[in-house]
Amino acid sequence: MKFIDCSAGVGLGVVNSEIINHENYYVYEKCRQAEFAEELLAEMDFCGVDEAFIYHRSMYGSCVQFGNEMTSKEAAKSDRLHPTWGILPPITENEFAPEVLFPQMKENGVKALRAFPLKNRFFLDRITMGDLLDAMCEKNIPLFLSPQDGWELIFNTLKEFPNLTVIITNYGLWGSDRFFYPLVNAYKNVYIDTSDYQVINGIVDFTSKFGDERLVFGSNFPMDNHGGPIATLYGSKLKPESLEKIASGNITRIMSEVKL
Amino acid sequence: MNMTNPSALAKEFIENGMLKSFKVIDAHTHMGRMDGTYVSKANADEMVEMMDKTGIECCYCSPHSALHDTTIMNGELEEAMKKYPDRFKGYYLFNPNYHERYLLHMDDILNIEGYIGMKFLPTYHRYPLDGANYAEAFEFADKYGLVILMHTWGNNDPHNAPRHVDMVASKYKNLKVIMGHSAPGELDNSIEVVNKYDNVYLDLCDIHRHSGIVDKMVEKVGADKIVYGTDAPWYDFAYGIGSVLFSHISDDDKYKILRGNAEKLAKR
Ligand SMILES: [Zn+2]
Repeated sequence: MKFIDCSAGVGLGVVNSEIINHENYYVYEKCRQAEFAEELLAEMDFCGVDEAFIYHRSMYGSCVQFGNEMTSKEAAKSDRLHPTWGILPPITENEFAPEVLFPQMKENGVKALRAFPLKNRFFLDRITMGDLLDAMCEKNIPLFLSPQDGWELIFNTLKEFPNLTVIITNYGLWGSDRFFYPLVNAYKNVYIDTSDYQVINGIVDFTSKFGDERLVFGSNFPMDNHGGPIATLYGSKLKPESLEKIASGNITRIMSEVKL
Repeated sequence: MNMTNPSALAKEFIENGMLKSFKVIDAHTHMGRMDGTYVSKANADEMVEMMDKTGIECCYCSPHSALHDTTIMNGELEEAMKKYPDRFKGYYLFNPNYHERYLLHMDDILNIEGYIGMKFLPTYHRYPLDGANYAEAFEFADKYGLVILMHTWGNNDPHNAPRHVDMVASKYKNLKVIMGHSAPGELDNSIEVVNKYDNVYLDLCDIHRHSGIVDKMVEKVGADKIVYGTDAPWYDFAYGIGSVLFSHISDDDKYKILRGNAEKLAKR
């Protein structure tokens, strides 16, 4: 079965590693990181993961622009790795205005974006990010979001941009269904990365309510390992067509709908 | 693509959605609904259903009702062990805030079929492992060679950090300690304590999910001192099994972690 990892980190975390237990409760523990793409690729080979959408961890630990450069540098080493970039408010950093950013994304093969609003001290709302998020909705560009600054921020963003494609990632191992079921139910373009979906019977229960097209396989490496989410998917014993959609089909479809 | 992981056990799991060569023993579980998290399977019957689905032979268990309700105490556990004697073994929850009540019934551990030891939850009970109210329970466990699953946590936890386990283990040599979660945030200190004492073990529960943790544990303390635990019904049995099967250790070591060590620990 083909596996595409929707979200993995390369590079060394400033802290190795700040790990979300749930929302903004962190644990700091030493993980095996992939300083360069080669190490991530070796782990992907070991676990049978074909491709990955990656970010460089300096995007979170240092600064978005530097992280974006490093991401592209590492992703360029293999056609199995696809870069994702972080965004900031265009009103302060004009390079993130859609008319500047999108051609850059096209040129660099970037199809998905990430935001760390509170870390960079801005709001992901219409006042601050209206033009960019409207344009992302129009072009079907997915945005990776973590609830590390609180789930309210994700709810608020989606209330203002109901058509935005959002992939919820890095949400910690505690069951978060009471937060993300309502989002998946209310907004048709919300997807859940399975890397942290460790809750008992989680995948089976989720798909019985929302079908098999709203989960995307991920590793959230290195905060998580690849084996846990792989085995959880196989252990769900869903029918093969559903397994394939979650392992790679859904993320392939999401990225194929991006119009740049 | 084909994985380069040479593990026959990992291949077996991929083909069957469970292991076939042996059944797994989970040394750290609970039972029943809990606050904070929605779970679709939680009571004894539902847990057995999930255990059958994922190839789990037995859960060593302390239900949420026991952890948090000092009136029902270990009643739910005792019912489950009676109904499913081969599927649940019990940790007698001891709440040090009501220690007299728990000491009164302590002989149940020896008299009721299925008990293998005790469960301590110091952080949640806000009572330190080395506090006076735990002393009699430790002495009892030591006298009968019981297993104590104790919650351990890093991040400067004032109740159950590795340094507390060190103090306990330096005193009691006959009981066996499973360091629940291996004190996330202080795994290196947990490793030090486990290497210092023959009767202290690391637990994979929660911490297995991070990249490289299983490999590091096996490298530092050896596969004989590690048990597989999941916190089920918080978490799915398969995730923790995957963390072990896709680690870079031998299948013999995987067997010890997923079954062999827990089986030995439960023998008195
Ligand atoms: Zn537990």
